[in-house]
Amino acid sequence: MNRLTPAHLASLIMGTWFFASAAGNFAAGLISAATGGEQAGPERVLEIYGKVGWLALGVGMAMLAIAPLIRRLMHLDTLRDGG
Amino acid sequence: MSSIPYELEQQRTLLGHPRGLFVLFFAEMWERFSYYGMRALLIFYLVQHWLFSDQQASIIYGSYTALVYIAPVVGGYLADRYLGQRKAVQFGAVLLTVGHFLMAFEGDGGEQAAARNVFWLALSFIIVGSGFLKANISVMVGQLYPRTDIRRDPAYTIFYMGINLGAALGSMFAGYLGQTYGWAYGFGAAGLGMLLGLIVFVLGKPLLMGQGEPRDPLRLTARVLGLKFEWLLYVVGLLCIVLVWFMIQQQRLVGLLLGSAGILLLGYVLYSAVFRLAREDRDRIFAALYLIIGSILFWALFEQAGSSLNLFTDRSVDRSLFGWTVPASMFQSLNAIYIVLLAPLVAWLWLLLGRRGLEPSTPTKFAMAVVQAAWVFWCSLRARRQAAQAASRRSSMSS
Repeated sequence: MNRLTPAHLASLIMGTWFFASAAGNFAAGLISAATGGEQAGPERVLEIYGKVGWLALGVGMAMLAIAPLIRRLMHLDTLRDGG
Repeated sequence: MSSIPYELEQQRTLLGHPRGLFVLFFAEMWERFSYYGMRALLIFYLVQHWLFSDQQASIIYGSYTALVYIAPVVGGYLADRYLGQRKAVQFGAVLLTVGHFLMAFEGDGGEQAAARNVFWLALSFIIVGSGFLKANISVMVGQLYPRTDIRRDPAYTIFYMGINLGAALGSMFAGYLGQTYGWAYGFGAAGLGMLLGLIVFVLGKPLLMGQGEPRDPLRLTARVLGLKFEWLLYVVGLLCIVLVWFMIQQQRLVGLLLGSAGILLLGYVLYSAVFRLAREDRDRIFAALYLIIGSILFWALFEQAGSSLNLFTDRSVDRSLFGWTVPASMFQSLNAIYIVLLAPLVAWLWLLLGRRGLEPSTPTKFAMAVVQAAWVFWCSLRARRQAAQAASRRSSMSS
């Protein structure tokens, strides 16, 4: 992550990274809360997990598909360390 | 300037590394011991002792871990600007020790208990304490080496092993004690671990060779508002605890603040990238933001481990091993154990692939992480089908 960022934006991007981790943790709480709804029980947990699984699988596949595109955005050929 | 008094220490090494590395190693190992030990028990403490519903407990757990991630932004800033890393880590360790011991103050439990306020306070001490300690102790590892020293990367590998060792042992010991003998024993073990970390860090100061000290020591001793500036900063830390104590009880507010601050931050970064950077630098920022947003989804999946999955393990998983029922919280140690076992294997795999020019790019690795996490959840569909089949077999046999 640091290598992708010009020095003057480094702390800002690191801060964004921390925020994203925090947001992910909060979102995890929301998913977890969904498994404990009114019809709580192991059935309910597995049902939610299944739905989350399908959704994430779709997103993950899309991410795989566009990965080469993102890689091009990184311009690795002209990337210099310490710059 | 300060290198001469430490000349002797610089020549003393352990496994080829400065001895200070092992001070940081053990201090951080004990800190992770207490953090993960407490976290393995937290969701059960919320549901079984304070009698929150699964839903409430999940949101509280999510808010707690979210705040733990945000706090280092403040702690890192204060350390960089004024305190220096060593003092910040020491202050953080004191707050953490207090926080973990406060967790052991059970009170009567239940929904009306006044002792719930002590519990919120304990969480706040741990959140702010992590903020002062976590990022700064990692920075200190690098400070022990000159910038171009080839031992830097191996030093971080050793340090991360300490983190995972602490995490694994913490969930095992505190988890076992807490779910077998009582909450106070588990949280007390976490507190003792943190106290040991603090002691190691304080006693090991000479081995740190004067690194991580404040940039401007005179500034810290100057009086501001009738207090030494250093002490004023600690008071700011305590005020942060009060603020967090309020926020952790208003979990919706935490979500709202995270969301709005996140969007503002994203907007600002995008704005700077689009209007102020050359094309290649701008593209790279876009790539970084894409990875950052992808990581949100990954964490949302991954962090079910300590909340819903932990509860599920406790309630619906057969945990007997040679006639002993393993407490659910002990399974929380598996993540760290697998990291220790598998990380060298994966690193070796990337090296092998890299030599043939086949190593996947970072965006591909991110996508693979999401797909694999998704696959785990998708497996639950099969588990559900099997459970349903087993249930129908049972009912047809009994009828």
